[in-house]
Amino acid sequence: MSGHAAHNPHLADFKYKDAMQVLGGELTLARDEHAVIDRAIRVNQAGEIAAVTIYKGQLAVLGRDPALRDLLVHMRDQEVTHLEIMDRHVRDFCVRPTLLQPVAAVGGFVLGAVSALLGTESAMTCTEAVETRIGMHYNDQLRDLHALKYDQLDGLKRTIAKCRDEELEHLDTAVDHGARRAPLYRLQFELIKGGCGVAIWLCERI
Amino acid sequence: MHSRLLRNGGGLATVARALTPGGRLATGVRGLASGDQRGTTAMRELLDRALTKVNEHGWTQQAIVAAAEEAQLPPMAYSIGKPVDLVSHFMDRALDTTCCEAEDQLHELDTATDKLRLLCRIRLRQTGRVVRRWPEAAALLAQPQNVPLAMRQLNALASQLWYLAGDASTRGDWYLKRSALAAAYVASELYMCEDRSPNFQATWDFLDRRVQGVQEAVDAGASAKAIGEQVSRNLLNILASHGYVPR
Repeated sequence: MSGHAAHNPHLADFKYKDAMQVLGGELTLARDEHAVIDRAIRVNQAGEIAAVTIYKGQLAVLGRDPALRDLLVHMRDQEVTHLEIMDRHVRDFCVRPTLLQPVAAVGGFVLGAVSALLGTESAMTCTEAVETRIGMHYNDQLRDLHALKYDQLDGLKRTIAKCRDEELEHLDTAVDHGARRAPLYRLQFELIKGGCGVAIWLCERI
Repeated sequence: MHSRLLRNGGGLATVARALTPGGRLATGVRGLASGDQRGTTAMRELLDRALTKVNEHGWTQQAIVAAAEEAQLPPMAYSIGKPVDLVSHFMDRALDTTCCEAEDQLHELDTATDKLRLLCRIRLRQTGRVVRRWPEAAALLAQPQNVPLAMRQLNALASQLWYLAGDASTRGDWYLKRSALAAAYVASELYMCEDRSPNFQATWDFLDRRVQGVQEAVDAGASAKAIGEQVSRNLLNILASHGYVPR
């Protein structure tokens, strides 16, 4: 038996790892643990791309009203910051970006513009629905990441929590600006929220 | 070797228990297949051992049976995996080895092209150990039912190598870079199978030219349209390397 290595000089010393190193070698993850983070960051990045373009779409329609413009620009800038954070995570955690990025970008712009064309209230309903779904989604992710029990993931969890808090602020802002006074409010809200759920499901996988 | 056997004794004992006659056999084997922790370790040990038999028996059940016999398991243990699982296991191991070996050397290089060249060489050297048997593995991977596996492995390879080379792309160019590298790598691997030059010198020259081509493809793909064209060209080349496209 001890000859295992000796009579097979070609294949004697394969390295044992079965793991991936991320964060520049600071954290070693089993492949299935990496898969959890891979999906999470992929969908977050796509979500932030869509969020930026939703606000751009709304700005394109509602941008003439100075008060509304400032509000939308402020929210868009926050989303741009979130997107930069997610891009950094994509690099640091060796994540595959989704193939649906262009779809997310175009879809976000169309959603923003169409909801804004239905009126300011509908635009706010759209924001409320999207941010509700995203807030839930970030909370689910924080639970999954917490279950992995790595101290090195604290930074990631903190930034996701920060993004979630800001998304929920947008939700409150939207409600303050009359989201619930939109025509067919319930219908619009549920449609957009359901659509976001489908988009999340797709972007996790594709 | 003794120490490794001792360390792995637990895992092999698990297989032995799983394969004892009687009602426990079926549950034991199902436990192995469903990814039970100890079972998975035992399966990997056996496949590792089977890899050392590949030069002799090829990517076959015989290699797995020979490994089981060497580990003093009943030859029934071959039911642990199909030949293509052996190929997949080899690719996992080879990628791990590449990452480990590259760690010390990468920081000495500056450009991504140099790093990729080094990484591809280390990875190809793993294939070099079984190079006379590699065409059989490539044929297994080219069977339609195994194409998803081949693509998954190729994605893991390209993604890991670019990550180690310090790539920072997060948009469409991510796919451009990975597909270009995957095409270059698969082509070099095929070339290696036919290479009879001493120390694979011809393969290294071929690889250098392909990696240079990766850089050119990346530079050329600045617009979305160029990226789309380049990615589809790379995919076509990968399929051609698998024998799907007449050239």
